[in-house]
Amino acid sequence: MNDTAILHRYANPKAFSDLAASITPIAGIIALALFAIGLPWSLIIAPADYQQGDSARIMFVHVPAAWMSMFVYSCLAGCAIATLVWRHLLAEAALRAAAPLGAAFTAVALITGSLWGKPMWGAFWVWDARLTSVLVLFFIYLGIMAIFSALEESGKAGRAAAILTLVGAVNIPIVKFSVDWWSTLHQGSSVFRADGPKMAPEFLYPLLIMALAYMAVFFWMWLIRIRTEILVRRAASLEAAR
Amino acid sequence: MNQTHAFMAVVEREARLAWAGGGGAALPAGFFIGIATLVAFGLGAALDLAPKVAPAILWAGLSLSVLLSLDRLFEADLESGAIEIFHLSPLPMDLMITAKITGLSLGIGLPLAMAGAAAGLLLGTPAETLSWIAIELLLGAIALTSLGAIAAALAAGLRRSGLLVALLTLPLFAPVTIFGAAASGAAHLGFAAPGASLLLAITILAAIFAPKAAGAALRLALE
Repeated sequence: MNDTAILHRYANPKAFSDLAASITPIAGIIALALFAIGLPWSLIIAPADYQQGDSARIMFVHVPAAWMSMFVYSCLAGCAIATLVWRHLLAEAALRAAAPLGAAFTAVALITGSLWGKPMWGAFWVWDARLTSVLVLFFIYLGIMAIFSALEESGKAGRAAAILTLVGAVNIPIVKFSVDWWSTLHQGSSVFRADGPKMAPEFLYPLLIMALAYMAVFFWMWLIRIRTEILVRRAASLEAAR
Repeated sequence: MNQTHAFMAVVEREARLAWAGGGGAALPAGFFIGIATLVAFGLGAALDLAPKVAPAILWAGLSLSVLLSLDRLFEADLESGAIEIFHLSPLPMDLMITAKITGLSLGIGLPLAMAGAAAGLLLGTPAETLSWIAIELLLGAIALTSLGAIAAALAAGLRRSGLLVALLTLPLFAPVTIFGAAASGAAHLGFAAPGASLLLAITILAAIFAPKAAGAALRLALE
């Protein structure tokens, strides 16, 4: 069987649902295990920062959430293209399922960031380019969710939300490069750099564990939500047929 | 009937509609000046700050005034069936939307820019910079109407679409407001701020690409 045949097979909602049913608990166990390692490591074992003290530990919760806010949006954009090009039901269900998760990660990034900002910068919020573009990202997530809740007809809602998702994708490079293009109070990237990570290993490793934990939680929740979405539709079509 | 003819017909219709019936474009313009007045009242004892915050007030006011005129962009034509007629005409959907945006910019954007200059005068902006600010506000009105057309097309035909349009335009309007206010804030310093070139860039990009996204959304509403 070649690659596209595999894709076509799992593009069937029933086949996907069965596959997801077996992956979901595994993703859940991986997520919980990673948090069981990552949380104590980053919040207790990792040394306190020599300048910021224990406040720097917020970084382990904040940075992965911020990464996820952009990663989830990239997933949304992929689903949006699949929704518009192939009008695929599964892509639309995935789009609908991922939007609130992305909004939640963005909210966590914004809230933890402002909690850290108060002791370090002296303010909960500053209007620099990074913070502003992430706030705009949050509003775009809310807009996508609003379209889904305003349109009853699911096929139409999916395509309308997909159009908005692709328009909003313009914001993603702005979020990513805002710290390079403008002189922001928010610091630049110290992990994804052309010359390698510029972070001490005792901070870097727990951060990466936490990032993987966030990633596993996202896929866990996403799969549960997509399966729920498929079930809701099946229930609705059965209800309509009765 | 060729495309240019059809394009001009839509532009003219939209501009005329903006002026038709009960005050026309005077309403959004009056609303714009009203916002500036309310903020001035709100400043109260801190009124000496007004010239400094004038760009912020003008650009927030422009966003709200454009937002107010967006619901008539597609909603009425969708109800009356005019959009279907446009759809049958030789004019492609994207160009039809560009024509509507052009008409609305002429009919409402231009009066809004002038109202903005008047509001700037009320807020104590130096008179010699007002012509620049009016030009910047006109550019901003074009960009905001183009971006707003996406939201208006997405919400067209929905119940409570006004609220949805307001939520959808919020992130789309953000960059225009940021660059516009930066440009107007620097106008009185007597040089072209980087904000002005960014405002021009975003206006051109929005005018070219937004009608394509709005067209896709409007085709959806027609199904």
